[in-house]
Amino acid sequence: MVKKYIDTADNRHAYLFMLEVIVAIGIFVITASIIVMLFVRAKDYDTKTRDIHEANAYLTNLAEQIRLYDSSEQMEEKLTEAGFKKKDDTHYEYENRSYVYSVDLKNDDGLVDFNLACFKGKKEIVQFDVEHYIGDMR
Amino acid sequence: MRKKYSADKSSFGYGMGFPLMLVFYVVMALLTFSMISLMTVKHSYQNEISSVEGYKEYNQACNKAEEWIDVLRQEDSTALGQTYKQEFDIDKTKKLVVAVKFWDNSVNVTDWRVVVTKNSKEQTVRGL
Repeated sequence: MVKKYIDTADNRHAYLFMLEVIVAIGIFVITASIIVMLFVRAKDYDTKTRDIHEANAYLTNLAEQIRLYDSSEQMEEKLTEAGFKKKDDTHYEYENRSYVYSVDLKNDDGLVDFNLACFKGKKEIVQFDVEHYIGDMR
Repeated sequence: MRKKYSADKSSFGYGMGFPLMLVFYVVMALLTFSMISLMTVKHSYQNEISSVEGYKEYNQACNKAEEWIDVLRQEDSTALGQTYKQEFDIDKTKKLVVAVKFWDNSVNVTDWRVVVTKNSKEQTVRGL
């Protein structure tokens, strides 16, 4: 009885149909996972691009301003105006949304090395040094 | 009456051809869209990176100029109205030309100019 049931043509085709559907769904699942992966990577690149753009725009602007400082007084004033808080004699910080901008000073007989950096969390996004001579820091 | 399997029903099986084809088209469209968006975003990411590199290069040139001006300052070679000019090699193709003019014998500099040349072609100019 069971043997007869299995051998019917309808059941053989139902098995083939099932196999086809499973293969088709399998292909779609693989493709869908590739699509999700591509979207995740695109999102990741997009976040990185925004971070770099934000950090670079701010730091380059700050670097150009630093090159115009004539005195240490002006430097303090301009950095405070820009929202920077003095953490110690050589370190300033400014927090804007999820970004933290830092300025570290290293004075070499008037030629001051400003280390500008932008962090998001603990991750450094952009960093560079700007050297500028400030007469009264000699 | 027993149903018979026939090839004209669908290549996918019993009447499942249309929905499966529909899913196939949607998946292909999504795949194309995700690839295009990834390529676009990657391109803008590379643009940002090169913009950062470009600024760093320019900044490096300016720092070099500041260092050299500082050396001149310490040598006390700040003659009135005199212009000093020096060339620095950044790499094989790029050259930095710094011209400095002192307005008096003090340590102040009123006029200086930085030019980065690539294969003898002017790229960046900065003056104060």
